[in-house]
Amino acid sequence: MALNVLVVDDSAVMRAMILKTLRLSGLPLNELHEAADGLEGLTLLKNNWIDLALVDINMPVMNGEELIAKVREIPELADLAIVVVSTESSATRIQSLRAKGAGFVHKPFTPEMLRQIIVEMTGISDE
Amino acid sequence: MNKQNAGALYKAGLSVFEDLGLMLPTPELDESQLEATPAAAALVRFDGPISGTLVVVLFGEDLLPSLTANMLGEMETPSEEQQKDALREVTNVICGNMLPNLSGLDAVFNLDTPEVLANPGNAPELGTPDTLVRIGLDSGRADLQLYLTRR
Repeated sequence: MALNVLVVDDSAVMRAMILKTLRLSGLPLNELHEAADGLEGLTLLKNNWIDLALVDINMPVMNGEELIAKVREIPELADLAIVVVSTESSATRIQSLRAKGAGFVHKPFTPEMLRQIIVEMTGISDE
Repeated sequence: MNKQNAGALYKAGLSVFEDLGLMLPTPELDESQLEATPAAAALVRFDGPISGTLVVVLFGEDLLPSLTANMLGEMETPSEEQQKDALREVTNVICGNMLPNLSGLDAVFNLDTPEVLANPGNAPELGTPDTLVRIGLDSGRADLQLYLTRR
């Protein structure tokens, strides 16, 4: 199985970095989608089959926490694998995100860190 | 200058320029790095157990284009918009990594959206920074200025 991935981040440079890292990860990838805020991301999730969403927290229009809450309310999307990619360091906030079933990777991340959390959250492997 | 704050800021900056910017920071600044002129700057305001503003000033005309190209993984010169985006992101990530070094992992902070300054040589009227650290990068340097709000 190859993953259809959505990257949601208001920084186009960060989205490009994440996509570049994904392409170099060795993980099997299919479609790669991008969104600049949570609302745009939610629309893409509703209209496309996506296996994994990599989501920033601080974004305009709809932030990452709001996006995750919306996704968990929609039966067709409720089980979506989500990894938060953020500068957030508060243990309380990170625990709250994990309680909503999201993985977490801290910026700046290494390719290995991103790959490991994706494998954990999706169960996918290139082996 | 508070040594603990300086250490926290330096550690955060080092990590971000190395891991996000794929650069090799130098602990000692040479003459060309010290004489480089301000080329770009951004700030981010934060609020939590402590509040204030972090300003990141990049010195040397080639530094931001080089940093942005590294982040994008491209050889071509990035657009001005890409460079501003990269600077905002770097400022945001440095701040996000500095704060737990200052206040611990249990502290909860809110960060505003980072802003690129129109005139990098003239930071807003923030006064004298409480903490200033300098990181050598290629032929330029980054000055990280921390201003704390008195309550």
